[in-house]
Amino acid sequence: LLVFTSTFSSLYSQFTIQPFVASPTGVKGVYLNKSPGIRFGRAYSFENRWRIRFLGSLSYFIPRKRVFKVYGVEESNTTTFYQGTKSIKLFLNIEFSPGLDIKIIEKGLFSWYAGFDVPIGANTSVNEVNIPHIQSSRESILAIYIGFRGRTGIEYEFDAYTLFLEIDRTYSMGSETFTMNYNTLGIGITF
Amino acid sequence: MKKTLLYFLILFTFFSCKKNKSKYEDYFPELTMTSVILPDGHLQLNCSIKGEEYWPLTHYGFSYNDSSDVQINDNQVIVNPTSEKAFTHIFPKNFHPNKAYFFKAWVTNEAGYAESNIIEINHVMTTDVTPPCSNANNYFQYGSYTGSTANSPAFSSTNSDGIKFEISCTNSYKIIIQFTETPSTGIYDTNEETSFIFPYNCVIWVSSYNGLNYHTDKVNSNQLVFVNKNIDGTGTIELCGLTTFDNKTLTTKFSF
Repeated sequence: LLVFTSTFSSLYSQFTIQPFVASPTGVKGVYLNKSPGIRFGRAYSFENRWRIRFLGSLSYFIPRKRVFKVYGVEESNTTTFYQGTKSIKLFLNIEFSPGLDIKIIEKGLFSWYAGFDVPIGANTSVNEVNIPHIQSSRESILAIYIGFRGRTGIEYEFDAYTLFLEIDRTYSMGSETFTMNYNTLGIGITF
Repeated sequence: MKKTLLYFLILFTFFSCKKNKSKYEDYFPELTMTSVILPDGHLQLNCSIKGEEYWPLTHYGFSYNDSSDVQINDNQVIVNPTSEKAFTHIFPKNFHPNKAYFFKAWVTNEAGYAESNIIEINHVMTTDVTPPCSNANNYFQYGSYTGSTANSPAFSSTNSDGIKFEISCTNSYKIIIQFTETPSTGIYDTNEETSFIFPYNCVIWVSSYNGLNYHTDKVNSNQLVFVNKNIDGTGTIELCGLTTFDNKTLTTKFSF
């Protein structure tokens, strides 16, 4: 993220920082709670209603419970289901997302915009799984994904600063095991 | 054009959004199980499924054990649902009348599994089963040979493959019946395999010795074995014209 930020620091752009709350959806949403994250990077000013942004983000996802009930299946002559438990010890998500915004309405110092990103991300998790007869292990998983993010927000300009409130939806391509689908609500400042 | 595409992508993104459940438990349905002892002594368990399903259910089952800490793999029976919101199973009378059993129902979905309430059932009623033939005790007929069995054979062995009876008969015949577990009153199905599919199968062999060699014949699968057992552990086993691999029939009744 630091390399990425410094790469664009020479361009005619402003620094943006945006804390947010992320709500994972899909299978990961079963296990992970609403969690904090932060985006920061560079954003150009609107020019002919368009602007480009290059942001990075880091999210620390908190599990919904300490222990989850999971099952394993043993296939031999017959199929047998075994009950077990799973604990998520760590779940971190990191992303780089270039994107484009369009200003839809401008009213005084306020404006309403929408945009999209193409996030490229990686999440790392550490899980402890214990299913008697099937699996008993501590596993680390690194998953890399690419996706699409749609967003909309309102911003307020004052002096050399811009305050903004934004919601977005990130949808990743691929199987649920490796993707990261989530919604966020964040408030940020560009300066 | 660029603007239209952008709006389309944004709308698609937000409309593809699926709202999260507020609690982990909300991702699973609520199961309620009830039990009924049928007039013929069989135990029927019924499970109803309540709640909106976030993901489709993939498997439905019942489990039981003689401990209240029943696990889903304990004596597991996987069933098909009778409707979108219910599934049921009738257990044969394969329970010991002096024991307590703990039952629970469960379902699985992509995220995990849900369990029902646990029901404790004591003294499962076991009414006698009536075979289609009527023979005197110790009667033995195999193919064209008719003789008798020895009195009161005992369990000859107990191992991981189950409980085995060895019954000596006249003219050097021997019947071997191997059950998955100690049989109770009920009607069992025969099985060709020695690796059992729990819980209601047994395997039956008939061997004969001609003074030089033993010849072993096996009863074909999916035939009925009638067991009537008393509270003191004694009982009778009756076979009525079961067919074998050697195209013979086996009829016998013996007590244990």
